[in-house]
Amino acid sequence: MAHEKLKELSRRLEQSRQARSADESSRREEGSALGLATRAITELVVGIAVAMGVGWLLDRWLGTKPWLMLILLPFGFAAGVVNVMRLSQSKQADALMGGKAGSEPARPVLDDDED
Amino acid sequence: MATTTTEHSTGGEAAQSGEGHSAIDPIHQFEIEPIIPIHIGGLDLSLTNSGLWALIAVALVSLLMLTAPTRLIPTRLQSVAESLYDLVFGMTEEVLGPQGRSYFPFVFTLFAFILAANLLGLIPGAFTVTSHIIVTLALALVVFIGATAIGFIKHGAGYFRLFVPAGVPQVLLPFVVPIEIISYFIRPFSLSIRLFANMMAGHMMLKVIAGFVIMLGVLAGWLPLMALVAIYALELLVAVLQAYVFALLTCLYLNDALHVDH
Repeated sequence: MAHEKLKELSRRLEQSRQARSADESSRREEGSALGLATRAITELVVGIAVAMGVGWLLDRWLGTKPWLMLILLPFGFAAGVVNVMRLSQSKQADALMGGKAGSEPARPVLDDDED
Repeated sequence: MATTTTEHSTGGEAAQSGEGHSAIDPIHQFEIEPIIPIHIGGLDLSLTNSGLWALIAVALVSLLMLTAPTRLIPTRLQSVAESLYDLVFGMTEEVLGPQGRSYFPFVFTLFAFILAANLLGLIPGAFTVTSHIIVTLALALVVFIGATAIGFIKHGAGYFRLFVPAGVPQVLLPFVVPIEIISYFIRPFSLSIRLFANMMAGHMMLKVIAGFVIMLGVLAGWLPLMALVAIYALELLVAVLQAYVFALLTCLYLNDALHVDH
């Protein structure tokens, strides 16, 4: 008896899950797009800021005023760019942009006959 | 987006304090005040509002995770606890593989604490623990130092291979290695600044716009009020998202420590 009830429940759960999955996955994509965007921006800004900060401190310590900061600045920028490049090749970015072009749209068919 | 809004908000704040509106001071909410003063030796160990809300966050998470009933058909509270667990468990498994399971408790604790602190901060009048860089930097340094230690324990000196990417010509190494080293050492900073800047910018924006509601009064105040509701919804998303991103990056850094040569 209880077993029957559970089966019925899991059937209904599966149904509503399918009906909702498309909607939910698009919402999740929006969220992770925002996540990727904030990651990319901080990576760029922080790369430059940290390299400049370390350069400035070393300069103050060694008395070589602007030079180490100026040398480290492009390296910091490059590190930020490298991190963003890695980010764009990560699993998260792939999942968001569908990896290789065109392999993504997996939602319409199931959804259409439900509605 | 987050970093630019910080600048805008500070600009607005300066203009307002110039006019002498002390009630609409968006910085005031970040002030740390001692609640129970405790001085031992020369140390100020007072319980502050920040500490109090951190304790509330810990208590809330413990309460949720430990006292949720374990029924087959979950109650609402139980399903909240279970989906949090599922989310983080799925993430650690996906990034770290099956051997990453031993790091799951650490990642989950981090995630749950940051999530609770972020969400509690959205209660009007509450203090946002994660809006102070010293808190987020401390969390990020735990991750960074921990991951680095794990890397050296697992691989010894071989962990330095992380700074020498495979397949790079000898000529380029003097440029590539410093870049790799910098990009490694900026990790704790990007991790902490992202969380702190998002939380602080969001809360300042809310406060500034709430100030507009009061300044414009009954006549036109409903316009910023509507914006306030929309931004509050966005802040809810940001609170959850930044906790997730923090945990995800923790996993990624641990992954680098576990598999140097991927």
